[in-house]
Amino acid sequence: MVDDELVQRIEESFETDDEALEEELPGLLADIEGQSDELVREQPEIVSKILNRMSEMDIASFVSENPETADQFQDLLWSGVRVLAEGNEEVQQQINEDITVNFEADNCPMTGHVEVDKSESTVTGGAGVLDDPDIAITGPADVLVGLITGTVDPIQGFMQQQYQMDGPVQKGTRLAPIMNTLSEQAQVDQ
Amino acid sequence: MRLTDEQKAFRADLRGYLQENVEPVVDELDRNGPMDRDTLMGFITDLRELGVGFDPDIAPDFFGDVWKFMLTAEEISYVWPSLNVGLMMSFPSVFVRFAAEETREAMLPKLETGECLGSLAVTEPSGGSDTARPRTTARKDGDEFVIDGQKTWVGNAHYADVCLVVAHDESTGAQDMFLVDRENASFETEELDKLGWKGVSNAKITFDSVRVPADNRLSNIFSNAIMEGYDMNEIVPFPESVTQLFFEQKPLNATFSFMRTGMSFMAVGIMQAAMDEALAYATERETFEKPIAQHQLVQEKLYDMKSGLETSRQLSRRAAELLESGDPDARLMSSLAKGYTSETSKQVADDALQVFGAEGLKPENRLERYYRDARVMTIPDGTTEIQKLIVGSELTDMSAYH
Ligand SMILES: Cc1cc2nc3c(=O)[nH]c(=O)nc-3n(C[C@H](O)[C@H](O)[C@H](O)COP(=O)(O)OP(=O)(O)OC[C@H]3O[C@@H](n4cnc5c(N)ncnc54)[C@H](O)[C@@H]3O)c2cc1C
Repeated sequence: MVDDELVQRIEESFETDDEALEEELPGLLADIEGQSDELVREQPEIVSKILNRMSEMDIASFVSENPETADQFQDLLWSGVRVLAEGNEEVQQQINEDITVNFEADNCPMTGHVEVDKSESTVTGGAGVLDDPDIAITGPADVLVGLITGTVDPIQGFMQQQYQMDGPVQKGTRLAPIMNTLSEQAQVDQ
Repeated sequence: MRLTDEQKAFRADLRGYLQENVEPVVDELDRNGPMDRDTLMGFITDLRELGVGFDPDIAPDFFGDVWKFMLTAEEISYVWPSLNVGLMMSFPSVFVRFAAEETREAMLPKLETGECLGSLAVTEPSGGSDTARPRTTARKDGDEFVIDGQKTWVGNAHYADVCLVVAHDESTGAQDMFLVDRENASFETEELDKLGWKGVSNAKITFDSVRVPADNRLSNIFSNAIMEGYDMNEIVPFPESVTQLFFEQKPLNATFSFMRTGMSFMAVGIMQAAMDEALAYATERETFEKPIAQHQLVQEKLYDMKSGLETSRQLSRRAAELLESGDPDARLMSSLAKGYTSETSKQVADDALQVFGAEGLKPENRLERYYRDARVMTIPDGTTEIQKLIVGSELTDMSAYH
């Protein structure tokens, strides 16, 4: 169980303006560390709210100033993705091959990765990069976060050249629907 | 490059058709200015029988085989460049298949019989070569986009069924394309007259609050089709290698690489036609009591024409090979080929006309048309100057045009 005090602190932080939230976030995310999965499972709306508040911030400068917090933020983000994927039948059906992806921001030192695993039917991710991924995605930090939280449609964003993607086209077209369904789900949960 | 038996048979059939059905009427049709829609559709539906076209049955084999596409551009242009342009500029009709429901309902039956004529509207009266910043805007209004702006020189637009329009998407701040179908939306066009490519219709378009469903935005078309489980190369029936370039080099750039390589083969077709006529004439026409082919300066002209033709053909093939293998240099080489072959076709047509002397100036001889058609080549699909800037940017990774 996530303790009530933490939930309350998170809720209170939403009342504050961006600047105050930015100051509070490092402490908050540090406290969440280690219990992100529980938080996501027990309080999905709260997680969606944090992620959405964060996607409204200037991610690149936040990451540049708080590199460690950025990793914690990603952990929370990916916990959200993992849990969403577990419970979503549509995503389960869309997972029909292994796909590995690296994300790299081109305007701040933020890197991340995601692995789609067919045999386990899971979507897992985290900070840092994998060796030799199938696909490498680069773009501004807010677009990369938007891809995960659902504010940037993966296919439309690619077509409109908001980010770049390297790797076999066929893997990319398999990944896009998974990301799309997950982000639609994340939007519904709010 | 070696053609397969199937590709050779395709070329032989195409040549046969063109000689029998286009060659006898080309002079008169071209002289009368832009073909009307029925004439163009007549040729397009005939060509469909040979495996040329953009409907779901034909496109994967036609577009999907780089060499078939390029052979078509060369062979048709040998006989009538304008017909090649009218045909090729119809390619955006492929997107009807995954468009919004109202567009599919209106256009899919036509597409399936090869009768949905397409057009691509990129160029604007105010922007010209500067296509990266369209002034035409698309404003989101509920489930629709509202398009305002002007486009110019758009091939087929005067009577096309669908028009794929590049516009600034105000909802995302990015450039996108929008498929406008003429059954559900209307826009004004004004046909333009020009020096060459007389047979194809080019027009200025005015979009005055033209409404299209949000699902006719190209990025939605892709998104919806991929969500339905289609692969990228089912949506754009390019070969897989070219679809891969879509990924690596931005979708519009990969499309341009394909089209420019086609233009390059078109220039080769014009050169071959001019060269063949000039060679035949040089051995027949006599001055100073011998065929003009026996004058050294005329032989020099033949040499120049032949070298221009052959270097252009090799360069075009090289560009096609790189496309076929999805090579990262495909963009560089297609721009180099388009720029070089277009300029060379001007020179070759000019030399061929000179070999004909005054006869070359008469409209009833074709040299005059080859000369005018070649002259146009250096402007559409990116002027030679723009091709040079693309090559420069690809070579140095430093852009001189932004
Ligand atoms: C027959 C024909 C068919 C066409 N079909 C279509 C079609 O189907 N769809 C469509 O959208 N468009 C079409 N076009 C338009 C065509 O793509 C444009 O004409 C072309 O891109 C050049 O634009 P412009 O004519 O406005 O010339 P401008 O851009 O005004 O250029 C004028 C001159 O300046 C040079 N120039 C411009 N910018 C630079 C620079 N940065 N550096 C150096 N030199 C520069 C150009 O090379 C040119 O010599 C067609 C044009 C023709 C003639």
